[in-house]
Amino acid sequence: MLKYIVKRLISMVPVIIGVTFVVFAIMHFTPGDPATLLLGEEAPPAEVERMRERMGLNDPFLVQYGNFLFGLFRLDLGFSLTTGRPVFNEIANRLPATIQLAAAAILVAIFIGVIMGIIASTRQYTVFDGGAMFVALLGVSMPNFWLGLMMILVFSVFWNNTFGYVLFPSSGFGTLRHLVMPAIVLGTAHAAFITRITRSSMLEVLRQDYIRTARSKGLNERVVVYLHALRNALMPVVTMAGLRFGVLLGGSVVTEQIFAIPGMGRLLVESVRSQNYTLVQGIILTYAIIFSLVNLAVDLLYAAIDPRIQVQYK
Amino acid sequence: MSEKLLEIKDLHVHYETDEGTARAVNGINLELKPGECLGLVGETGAGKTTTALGILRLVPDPPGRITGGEILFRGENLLNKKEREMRRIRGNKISMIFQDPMTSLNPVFSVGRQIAENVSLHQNVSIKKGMSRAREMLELVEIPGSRVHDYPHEFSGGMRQRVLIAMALACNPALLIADEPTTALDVTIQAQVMEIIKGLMKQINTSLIMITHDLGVVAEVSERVAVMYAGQLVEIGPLRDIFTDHKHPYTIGLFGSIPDIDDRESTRLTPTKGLMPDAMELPEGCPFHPRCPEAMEKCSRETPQSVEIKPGHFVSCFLFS
Amino acid sequence: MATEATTVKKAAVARKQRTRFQETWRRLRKNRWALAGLTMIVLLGLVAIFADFIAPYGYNEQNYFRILEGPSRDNFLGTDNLGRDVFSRIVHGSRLSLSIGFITTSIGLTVGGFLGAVAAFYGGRVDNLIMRFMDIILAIPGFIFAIALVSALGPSLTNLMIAVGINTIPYFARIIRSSVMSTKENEFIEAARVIGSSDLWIIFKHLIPNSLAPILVQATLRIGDTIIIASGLSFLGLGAQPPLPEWGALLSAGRGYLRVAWWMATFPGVAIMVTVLAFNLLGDGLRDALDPRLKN
Repeated sequence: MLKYIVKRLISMVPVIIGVTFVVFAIMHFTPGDPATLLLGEEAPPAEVERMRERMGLNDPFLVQYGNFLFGLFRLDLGFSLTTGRPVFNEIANRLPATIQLAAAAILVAIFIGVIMGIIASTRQYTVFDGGAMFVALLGVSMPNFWLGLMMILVFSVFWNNTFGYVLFPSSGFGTLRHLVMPAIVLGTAHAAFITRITRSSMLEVLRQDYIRTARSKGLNERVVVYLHALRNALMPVVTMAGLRFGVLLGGSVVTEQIFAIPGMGRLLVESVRSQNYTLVQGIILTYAIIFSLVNLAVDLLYAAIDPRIQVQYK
Repeated sequence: MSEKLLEIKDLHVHYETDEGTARAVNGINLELKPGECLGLVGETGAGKTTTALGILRLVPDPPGRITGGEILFRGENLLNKKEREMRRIRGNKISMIFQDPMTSLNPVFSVGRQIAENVSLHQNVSIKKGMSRAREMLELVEIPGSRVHDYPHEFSGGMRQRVLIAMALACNPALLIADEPTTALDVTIQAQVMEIIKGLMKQINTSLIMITHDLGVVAEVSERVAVMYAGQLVEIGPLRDIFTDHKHPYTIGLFGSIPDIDDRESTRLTPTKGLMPDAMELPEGCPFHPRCPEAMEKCSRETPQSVEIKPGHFVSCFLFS
Repeated sequence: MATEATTVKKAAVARKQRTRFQETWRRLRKNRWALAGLTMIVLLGLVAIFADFIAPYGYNEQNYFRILEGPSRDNFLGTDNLGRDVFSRIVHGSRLSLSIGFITTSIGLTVGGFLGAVAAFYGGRVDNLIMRFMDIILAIPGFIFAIALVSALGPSLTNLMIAVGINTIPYFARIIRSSVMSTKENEFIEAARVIGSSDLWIIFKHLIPNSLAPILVQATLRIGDTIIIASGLSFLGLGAQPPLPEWGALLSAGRGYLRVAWWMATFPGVAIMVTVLAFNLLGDGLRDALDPRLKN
């Protein structure tokens, strides 16, 4: 198992290096001169030129990329062009909030999505099924920034106007109450997606012979559905949820923006606006690494769910 | 206590779909004594599996529905039982083995766990205790008990079928229904599995309904044979009678389609002409009459009643009434 | 003789395609949800085309006497912070959102389709190179990749479409690649090769048309996704710039006035949702109609 994890981690390396190249190349052609940005508009041209030389901005593209890559292995992502602090530290400061938010959202999504999917599949063609599927369709069609604003409107603004207090705070971070609305906002689309997959996967599994065997043993329907069927149905759910985790990460940028959560996403938007390209490339790289790690985790989850996969890990 | 373990009276099972109603089982009457082995034979689609699922009340609903009749198990009508009571019977008093061992075991649980689940459910013991019973049962079907923690994918088809047999018999059921247990297996493995079933039947005194289209399998285990065609029993009787003195034109055709290796010259293979009718469009009268070489005018109007032509040998055909 | 044979063959192919199309249409027509989606898309298209006639005001027509007014008879979805009619801005915005959806998806479809077909057709090293590159792009969460591209290109409507378009390339590349891979082995491709057709001809004339079903489904569902991604970027101020009435930008403007003018943020969001819902309904329906086996 450990060998497999290491093998997978190593196989991630070329992709991540590819990502660094793509991101570095994009940022290289970003308008605006980093040296000027760092020193300010009024800085004398000679000093800017000296700075460019020091930052290696006059080197050929590939040399610059090589230096960047070399720095990366020492966890050196350069310096923020606005604060002058190491990019690594800037990101490390903001990472926990983003991870908490994403984790809370994925928990919400899995919990709601799996349950709704099961209900829909076990009551196929009934009102429950139709209702759950329509809600799920609305969920995947709804922009999460709109949902965020609507929740603020209802639970912060209207609630305050009616009851004289705020049910869930509309901005800030730190307590569980702060996390409720962002987690729901970010988790909804994912929950809807998981509902749809869980339903179709469950419908497929419930047709299998071993489900009939389970019933013929005299197991009650709940055990058949939640133990025998669900465990088999989870495979595609986990895969798809993992692949779509990237969408959730993207959504977290907007969610952080709406609820003023001090995470990486807000930092990204700020950095893009101030053309702080070292920070932008560091953040994007971090997102890609998180995404890859999550997919690795998904792979390992398979083994826990399905013993057939374990064979391949040996 | 009545002498009969199982008595099916005029059972009807229909599948209702958008395209119409498929009458899969139409008025079956069947009896089974304790410890008896009955072979239920017929072509694919004759309604054998549906009958079996009907006994366990596991006909998929929708679209399937038991529309009439009685199934008396030890004198009690299973069709009147609550679902909760049925669950106490399934896997405990009546067990079933399914056709395809490759897909009938849950891939994500160890085989021991799947057997133990059955034991723990019906004997009210922990899964852990059930596991020791599982080990015992595996040994009984000639699988080393040490493999109790292995998963289905680590077993061959024949072994999986034996695991399923072990699972079905773990609670010493009074009745075992085996639905084509050897069809999906290699010929050599088939013999092996049959040996095990035969051995166990003697050992634990369970009644058996052996569903198959393989007359060889029937000859091996059954004491009595019932022949099913298009949802009805056309002939039923002692093994010897059915094999050597079959009366119903369909049964004659069925045996006629087995090539006789001793007599290659004279008898040509004579399979019955035509196909079994679609359960959605069953013909009026006797369902066999469109294919029957002896069909009379009456056959297309009325359904023949079952007639006892010899002690224990019943035929549903106007030739005998 | 030869021409006659080809004509006959062509007619046969046409007939086969027509019946397949008809068959799909027949199944689609039975699906009420898909029809609802299709109807909504047609209506939205009409709104976009006749926006000038439908909207009572211009999209940037300001009225300082009517600032932040709630829904009324004159402005039935209210007015914004510059006294502009929210309804009119949404109606005009439908042009932008629909164009964004179609243009970005077309970019993804053409470039991704081409790359995918080439990868599948040539296989080996070409395939490896293209698909590994697609893997790299897919390793960056889509929305975040779009932010990176927009930050490099500078925020504007055009750059937004380019960024989101590039984003969808890998999806189409993958789907067309797998589709072409499976049709590539067919005998008529072999036949085309034997009679000396060029590679490009085979790709465009045979392989891509035969992959139309999955492409159509993917494209329809993708349009909905790109509308959400694009409006998200506009919401962050990285897409369409004021005073353009792009729906995401409208929402972004409404965010600042959430406490005093709820209608400013609410209705543009409803517009986005309805549009995306329509494409999702149609996409789901198409998938079921083209491949009934997938339907449960």
